[in-house]
Amino acid sequence: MNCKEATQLSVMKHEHKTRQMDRFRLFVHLLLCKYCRFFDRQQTMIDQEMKHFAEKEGLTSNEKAILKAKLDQTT
Amino acid sequence: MSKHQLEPEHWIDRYGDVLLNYALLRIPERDIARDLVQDTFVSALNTVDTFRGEASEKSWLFLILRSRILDYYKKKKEVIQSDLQGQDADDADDDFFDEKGFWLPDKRPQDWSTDRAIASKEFMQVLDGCLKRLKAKQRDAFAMKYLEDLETEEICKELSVSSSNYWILIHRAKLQLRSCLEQTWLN
Repeated sequence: MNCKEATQLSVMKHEHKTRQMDRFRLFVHLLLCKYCRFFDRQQTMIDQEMKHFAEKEGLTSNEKAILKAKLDQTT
Repeated sequence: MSKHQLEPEHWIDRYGDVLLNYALLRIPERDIARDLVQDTFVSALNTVDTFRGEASEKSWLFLILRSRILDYYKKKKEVIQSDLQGQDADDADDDFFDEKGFWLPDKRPQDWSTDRAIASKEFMQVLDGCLKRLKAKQRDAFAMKYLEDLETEEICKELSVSSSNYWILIHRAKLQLRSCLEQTWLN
């Protein structure tokens, strides 16, 4: 397995879309290749940071207040 | 089977931020994105009768926002998916890997992590900047995957890509995003 395939499988693994055989082949590659190991670990980090990104403050408190007032009018 | 309920009085606090963050990934102009989120809430409130409780409240609101975003682009007569043609090609990976598929020396990942439980504001800004550098279709896929929590199959359907093209697209996006984060965060 080369690094291109390993990173592809790493991406698929993080979406739980790998077969057991591929997970094992990836595991062996990661034992031997530190660069792909860093890549794989950082995929976990990106997944976590994207969750923070989703929840980060988007609307300002002022915008929320205006929006709430608007929805109250609608009802 | 228990049906989902709507609680409009909590919508803005629960979903205001994530809906706007989602819209901003797909529409760069903040005013427009914010107005679409507002339209989404108003339109949802006007059509609560049509809510059958089969999807969660969150999925339902996202569904409305997604169709608002599509309408917006239709009105602008822009073909959302056009800028990716050709970019998905498998050989587009050659700037990360050599001809045998191994990391090019200057593209090899380095050993780093954000290494903390809560995300810092600075990292969120770096992440935002790097997401903006992705292709529109890649960003759409990220928005649907991480903010809307759609399953892979639904994202493929929504973006009109085959499953194998989805994996090429997301592989490419993750290579680029990781590399951008590394360059920006470590410097």
